[in-house]
Amino acid sequence: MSLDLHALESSFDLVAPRGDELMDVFYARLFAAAPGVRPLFAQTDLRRQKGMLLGALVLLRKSLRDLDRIVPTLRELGARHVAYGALPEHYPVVGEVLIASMTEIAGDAWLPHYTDAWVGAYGIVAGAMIDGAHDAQAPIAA
Amino acid sequence: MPHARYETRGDIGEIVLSNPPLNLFDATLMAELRTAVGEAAADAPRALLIHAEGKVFTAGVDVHVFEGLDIPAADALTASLLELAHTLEDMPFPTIAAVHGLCLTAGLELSLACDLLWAAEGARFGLVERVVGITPLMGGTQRMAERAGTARAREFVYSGALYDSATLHAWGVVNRVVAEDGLLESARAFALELAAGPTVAHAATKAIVRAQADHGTRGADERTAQLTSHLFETDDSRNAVQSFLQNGPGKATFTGK
Repeated sequence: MSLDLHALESSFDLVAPRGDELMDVFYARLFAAAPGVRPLFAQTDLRRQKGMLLGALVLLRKSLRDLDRIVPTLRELGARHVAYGALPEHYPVVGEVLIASMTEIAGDAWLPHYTDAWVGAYGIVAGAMIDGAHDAQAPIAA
Repeated sequence: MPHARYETRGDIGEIVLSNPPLNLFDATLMAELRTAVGEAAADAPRALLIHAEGKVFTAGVDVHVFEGLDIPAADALTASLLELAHTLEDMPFPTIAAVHGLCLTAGLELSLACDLLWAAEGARFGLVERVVGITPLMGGTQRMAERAGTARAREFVYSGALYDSATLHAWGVVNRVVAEDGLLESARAFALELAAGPTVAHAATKAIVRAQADHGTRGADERTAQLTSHLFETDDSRNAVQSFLQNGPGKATFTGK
């Protein structure tokens, strides 16, 4: 699948300068859309969590033109998320909320095809993370 | 250009302070540093090196940050700074700060949140918050006390004086002092050497040292099995045991798995 790299980079660069605000909006929307995930963050410093998610997104932005390099990192990130209680069914809502949050922050500057580009990119990210999570659990299931 | 950035170099990650000449910790640098630390946490390199561009590591916090703060705003600033220190300190891989020139206030506190501190000859260090009538907020006092002892920590912060690399090496705060023109190269080589090692074991070592600092020696003893037994099921340990038995010590290579 080919990604619209220009759309991904342009759209992320619109919201990156307001990264802290993006994270505030994201978690507020996430807990509203999926209150069931709130307990997963009970022992988490949400301020730290926001910094880590923003960092992961910036890392993704910088790696878009070399996705092969970041796929192992995403798989390991997915494996680590098993311990945090993340389940495969959480990934779609996170993607929807993330794209909605970026759309909100960018306002009128957000173009419809940015959404399509991010749906595609998030699918790859989530796929790699879920694969990593599956691998991490395999020894337990065996 | 960003004031702080994260980049990778082989198996190691590097966070670079890049707002010379002074690398002042202003709002922009602090936000970008938080993101860079977040990038490092997501990327999970096998070792992390922090260094700075320009003639000094940092001249510390831009005093404008402190102007007009009331107690709730100060609470928020302190929480944010400590969160940054904790994120760095909790990273499950070796972290090294390579410091040159001048390293003041938040820059030293950032360095003290790293596992190891390498310093250039001629580097000078200070927690000089007394100048603006406050005391360190990012955990520098307690981390200085952890490494150097409580009396030295009090002296260091009460005086607000600048201390050289040799003194802080003698105090146990600085691991190694090297010539400034070779600092980055040698610290990077050491980080790469650590990154090529059994990094799951390094994470366990780090957790045990943390447990000792937080819970005392017997407290660390109580946690040692929990922190180490999984190592025997890592590829690195299994392969290294076989390599040792077949070829002798020092021949094994490690993947961090």
